[in-house]
Amino acid sequence: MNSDRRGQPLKILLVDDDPAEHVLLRRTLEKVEGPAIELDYVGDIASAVASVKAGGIDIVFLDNRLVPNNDFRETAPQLREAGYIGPIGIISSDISGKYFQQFPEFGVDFRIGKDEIDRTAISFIISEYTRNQLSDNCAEDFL
Amino acid sequence: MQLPADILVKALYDTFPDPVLVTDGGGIIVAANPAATTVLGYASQELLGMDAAILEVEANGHAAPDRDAAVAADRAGWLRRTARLRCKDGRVLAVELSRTPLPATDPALPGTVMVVRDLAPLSRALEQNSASTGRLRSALESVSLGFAIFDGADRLVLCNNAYRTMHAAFTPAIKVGRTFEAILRDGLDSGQYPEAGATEELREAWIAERLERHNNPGEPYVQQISADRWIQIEDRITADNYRVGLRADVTDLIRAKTEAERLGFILEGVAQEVYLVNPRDRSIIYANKSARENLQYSMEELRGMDVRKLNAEYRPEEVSEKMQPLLTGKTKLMVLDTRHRRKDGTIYVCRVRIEKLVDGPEPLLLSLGEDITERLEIERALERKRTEFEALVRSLPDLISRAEPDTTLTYVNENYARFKGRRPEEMVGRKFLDFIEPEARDAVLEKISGLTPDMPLKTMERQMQDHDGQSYWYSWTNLMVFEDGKPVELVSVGRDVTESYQAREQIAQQTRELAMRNDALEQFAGLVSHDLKAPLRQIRLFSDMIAEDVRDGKTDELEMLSAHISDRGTSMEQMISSLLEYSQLAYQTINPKRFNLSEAVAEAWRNLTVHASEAKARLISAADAEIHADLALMTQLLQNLFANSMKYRATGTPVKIEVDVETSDTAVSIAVTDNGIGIDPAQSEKIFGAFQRLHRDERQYSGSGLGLALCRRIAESHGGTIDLDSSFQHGARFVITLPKIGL
Repeated sequence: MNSDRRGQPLKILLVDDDPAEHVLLRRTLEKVEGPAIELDYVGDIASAVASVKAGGIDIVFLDNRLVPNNDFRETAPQLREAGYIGPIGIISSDISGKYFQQFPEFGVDFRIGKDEIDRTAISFIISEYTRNQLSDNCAEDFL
Repeated sequence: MQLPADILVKALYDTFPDPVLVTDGGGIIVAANPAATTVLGYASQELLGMDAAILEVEANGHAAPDRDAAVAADRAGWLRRTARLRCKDGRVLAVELSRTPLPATDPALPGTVMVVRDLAPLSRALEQNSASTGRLRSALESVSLGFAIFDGADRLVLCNNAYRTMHAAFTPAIKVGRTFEAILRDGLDSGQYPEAGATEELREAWIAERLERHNNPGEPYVQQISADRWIQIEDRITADNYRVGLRADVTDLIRAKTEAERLGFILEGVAQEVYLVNPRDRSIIYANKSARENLQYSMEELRGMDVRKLNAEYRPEEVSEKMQPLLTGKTKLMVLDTRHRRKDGTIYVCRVRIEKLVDGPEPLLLSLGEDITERLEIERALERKRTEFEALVRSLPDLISRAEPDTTLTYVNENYARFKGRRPEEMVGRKFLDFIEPEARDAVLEKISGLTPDMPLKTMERQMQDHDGQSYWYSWTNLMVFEDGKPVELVSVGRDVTESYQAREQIAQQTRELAMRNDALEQFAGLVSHDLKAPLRQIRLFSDMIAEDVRDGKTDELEMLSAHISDRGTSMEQMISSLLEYSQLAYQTINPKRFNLSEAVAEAWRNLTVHASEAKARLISAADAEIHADLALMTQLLQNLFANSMKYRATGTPVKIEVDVETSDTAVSIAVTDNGIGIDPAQSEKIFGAFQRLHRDERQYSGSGLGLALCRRIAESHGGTIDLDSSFQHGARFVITLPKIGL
């Protein structure tokens, strides 16, 4: 994870083929308190793969439906195959589909409806998935 | 004249046949009569003066065992005993000595008179008696009858071996001297008399009865002495109160009697009429109960009656003539259906089976008759039923066959034969597999071989072709009839279920289509939900941002934010219009008619005149072909394809659209080809889904994503298909295939 780079902002990559979502997320992040956050935006999975390969991404917000792909089950694995090991969260206007329950199987760490995204949710996600330490369980093992 | 006593004594003394010796008080012989010299062999002078004890041979050391002698109470000093005397020639005589004391002149030495009686004649008589007894015993042992004698005190005197053998269970108890009752009780204890009963009371009563019969014998009676053995007991009492018991083994007799009685009971009890007839005069000897009751005669009335008189159908001479082959031995058995007249004059039909028995002492005619009136009625009823059944089977539309388990046909109804273009007799005798399509034979055989006594019936549907090659679907029900677990007959009924099969197939197809539509609808609903919620949420958020910026006095992003709101609103408007269009067309009932495809092509092109001009599009149509479809829907389909071609055109290249038609015997294929940017073959199916777009950037390729979904819906509503030709590489080519119907 890259957030251990002292003095550098936390970098979030938004992957969504609707540019309006970029505007919305940017405005939401401006209200989040805490460490500085930098938002990168790409509109397709190929660009996202290139971005994570380039490095420096701390967390990925991946739109569920990126045309021409059906859903995250086709896109999230591409990021993992590119070597990205950081947290991936699926965002969607509708997360009621049953297949969303399968997200761990496809390398996804969490899912969240777009209408749930606000500064509180963002703060929680950042604190939960970008802490500069091992997970609680692993930390206990090494104490 | 009275002789003086002394003379008389002297005469007796001299003529007495037994030796008489007179001794003095010292035992010395003082006188001996002539018989003494004769018997003992001594001269009179030799005897006189001889000590009498010298003559006696010592026995057990006692010359004169007087203590063993018999004495008489009323005769003092008299005694009699046996002794052995030695004659002069050495012989020893067994004698009986009778000694009588004489009045003595000297009281201290009293004299005696001894009379010697030779016992040899008595021994010889006894020996003769013993020999007779032995012969009697041998004779008794040689007879098969059991024989026993009990004396007046009811003690066993003698019995032969046969008697013991008949009471084998307690032979050791049968001993001379034991009473009849004691022997009987031992026999009871040995279990030889199970008839006596199990309780003490019953056993005592049985013994009392047996003793009563033993002591007061009457007629002989039979007693069972084991499970399969009987004896006849005959007791007699002799004049001197001896009881003589005779036992005869009557097992064979009882068995024969039992079997004869059983046979008699059987003959009497069988339902068939049984007659025994004398073949010489045709007189009835015996008629069983069934015969008597049916004929209403008693045995007395029937006995001796001419059997021919019972026959109501033929005169006696005719009956004789008919029976002639049997009487002359030409045949051993005759079966006649005839009519018997009862005593009351009524008549019944009788089937008679007559056999001549010649093995017995006298030839006999054994006649077994059966009143077949009811049977004939049943047979007639069965025949009627069979005729009705045949008529029913003939009238049934089903195919019916009966076959042996190896599938050899034994019956085929006319419908089945007609279906195969044959006559029933042409099919009977052949394996029914011969009339089954080769590809179906294995399945049929498997079904039939799976029939078991527990599951003898199975049904299967299969396609069949009649003799004209016309296909039908038949539901065949196969029933294997089993007897004692072995298959004996296969009954098969085939019913034409072509219509119901097709209806089921249609329903199944519709069900599949419905499921597909439901899936599509579900997907559609999900997409609508997603694509409508997204712009609404964005509009709300952008509105909030504008309000926030206005509140904060920020104006730099207001224009951008409002542009997003406008864009989202336009997007929703377009989507709602597309949905309306889709819902109007997608589930529209088609109204097919014959028209030339070029009409639909021209109309579609006209509807897109503005777009075509803008895109500098050119149409090359070779669509001169008659099709049977809904003109409006086909126009819409072509219009959507043309619009797609114009929308996804290659930059800087004029759009060229070609329409070609090919017809075959069964279908019409319409190909729409353009020179645009083409479609990734991997997306060849996805593009037909509702709201599916391959390009997100609506500034370049706007649209709702419903166009191709509508095209597929229209093609399918005509029973046809639409596919992307993924092999085409210079643009996009869609191929619509419609069934060639109504042409």
